[in-house]
Amino acid sequence: MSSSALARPQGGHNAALAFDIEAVRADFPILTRKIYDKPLVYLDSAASAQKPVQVLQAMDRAARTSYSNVHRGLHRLSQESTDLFEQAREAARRFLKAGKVEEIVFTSGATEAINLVAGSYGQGFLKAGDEIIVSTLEHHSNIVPWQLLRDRIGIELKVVPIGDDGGFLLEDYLKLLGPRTKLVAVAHVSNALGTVVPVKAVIDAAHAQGAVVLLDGCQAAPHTAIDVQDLDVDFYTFSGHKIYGPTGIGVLYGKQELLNAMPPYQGGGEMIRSVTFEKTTYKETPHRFEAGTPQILEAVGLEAAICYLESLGHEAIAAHEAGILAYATERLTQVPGVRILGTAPEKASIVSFVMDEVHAHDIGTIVDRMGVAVRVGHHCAEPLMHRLGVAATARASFGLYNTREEVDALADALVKVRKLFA
Amino acid sequence: MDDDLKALYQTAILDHSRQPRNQGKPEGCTHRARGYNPLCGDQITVYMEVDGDRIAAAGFEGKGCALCLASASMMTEAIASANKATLVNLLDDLKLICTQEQAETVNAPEEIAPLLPLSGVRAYPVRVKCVTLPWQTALAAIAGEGEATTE
Ligand SMILES: Cc1ncc(COP(=O)(O)O)c(C=O)c1O
Repeated sequence: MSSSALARPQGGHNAALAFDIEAVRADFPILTRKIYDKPLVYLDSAASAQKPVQVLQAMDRAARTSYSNVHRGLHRLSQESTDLFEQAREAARRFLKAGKVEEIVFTSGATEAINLVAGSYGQGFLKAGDEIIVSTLEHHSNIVPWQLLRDRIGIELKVVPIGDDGGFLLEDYLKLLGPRTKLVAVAHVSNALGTVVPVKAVIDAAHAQGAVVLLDGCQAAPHTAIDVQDLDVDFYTFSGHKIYGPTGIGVLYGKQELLNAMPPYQGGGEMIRSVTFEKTTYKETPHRFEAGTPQILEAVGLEAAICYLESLGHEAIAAHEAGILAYATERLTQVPGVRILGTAPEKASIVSFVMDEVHAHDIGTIVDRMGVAVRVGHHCAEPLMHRLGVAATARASFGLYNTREEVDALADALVKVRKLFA
Repeated sequence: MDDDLKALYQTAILDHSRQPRNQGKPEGCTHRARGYNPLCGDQITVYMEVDGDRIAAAGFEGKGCALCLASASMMTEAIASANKATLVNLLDDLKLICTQEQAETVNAPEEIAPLLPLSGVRAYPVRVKCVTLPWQTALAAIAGEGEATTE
């Protein structure tokens, strides 16, 4: 890694966990790309992460050698595909430390998973006047499904405020909780600011009120180890493409007894036990929620991504990213006119910022020409932007393959932006 | 800095975005509309004083990127005392110069000249909407629509 000794994460033991960053980078073919003749500096992994060869090869191999539909063929290829698909489910179980594979439902992504819970749990267990709590930090995909449910059945939405540093205000959350609270749906980590939400306390307090909790783990899954049993969370979701896997697949974890009590979300093949025109009966979870041909190759890719993360080790990834985050925070703070939004004490490796007098879009365009890919805009979190009083921010999000040199490239590009507009 | 960037953020653009002309609502404002670009959150309100077929004055306020603000500022200068048809023609021309390498058929060659600095956006297709938003908003105002978006 770099020669800089700056901003090592606290505790010397972390150094021992470090992985060989150059070897890791070599696993990601796209990182050798040039953008406008400059080396690509990819700082948009929170939107979607790049894929290592291990993922690409696993999908390619399955398509070339073992591909067919799952759960419906007697023939050899169908059996092999089914095995691969169910092996991926086991990998997802392991990744979340869930107790049972039946608790792992494959969806097209976190968005579908949240819609599934809103639709199915909402229809089965919620009624007019019940309250659902979300937070100001939420991605639109953890807001709009609940609003749709509100419009359908008349539940009420309550919103946990955040502090000026982007921190989740636990005290205010506790005040919102009440006998009418039936469900709490919050991000584990904010996609726009990187804030880590104190989910353990959120869950314990919700359970004390008899409410269930859904955690949107999209931005936690790439960065931290997750243990749904230790959390005692009721529903947990993440998207494959943000943990270096393919698009089109995500995971919904749900406690088995909850899932089995929930009505189906979509109807079709694969999810039924028997069908007559008079009456249809449904399979148990997870198949009840997987109508139609599932994402077979994507599941294979997801497993490969999970294995990849396991091979590096969650602690090593977290230590690496903590180092990058600290360094980026320091470097960006030094760029004149830059203000970082989201300075809560506990953060994942995401840095949102604005620059005096320069709109985020102009920042994005200019740094792009220098090969630096950041996301600019509202990050699908408009209510959060309103709370922060900005229309848009620029966001650098760091993954396991990013380096301090890349942070330097961003900081240098921002200095040039500053000069252009000075 | 690369040439495309220099062409995009040339002096005239930076000057207009830093010191936008005709900010605020003209006294005799008769028409207004709000424009919104959901992609980046650009948000502006265009005000016009329209007298029959003539745009007597134009102003705007709002938040946006340098391209959006510069375009809005230049627009208020370009359409003040023009007639409605000129506004329509200018937007057509503007779209041409912002998307095509050699835009030959311009409706209003004289009026478009001061807007040429905006054509630097040609190399940045995703940013063209930033430039056209104020104009679409002005058209919406005249049509009495009240709102315009880039979607
Ligand atoms: C916190 C959070 N929740 C939900 C989503 C939606 O994920 P997907 O678009 O993969 O369904 C995202 C991705 O942008 C996210 O960052």
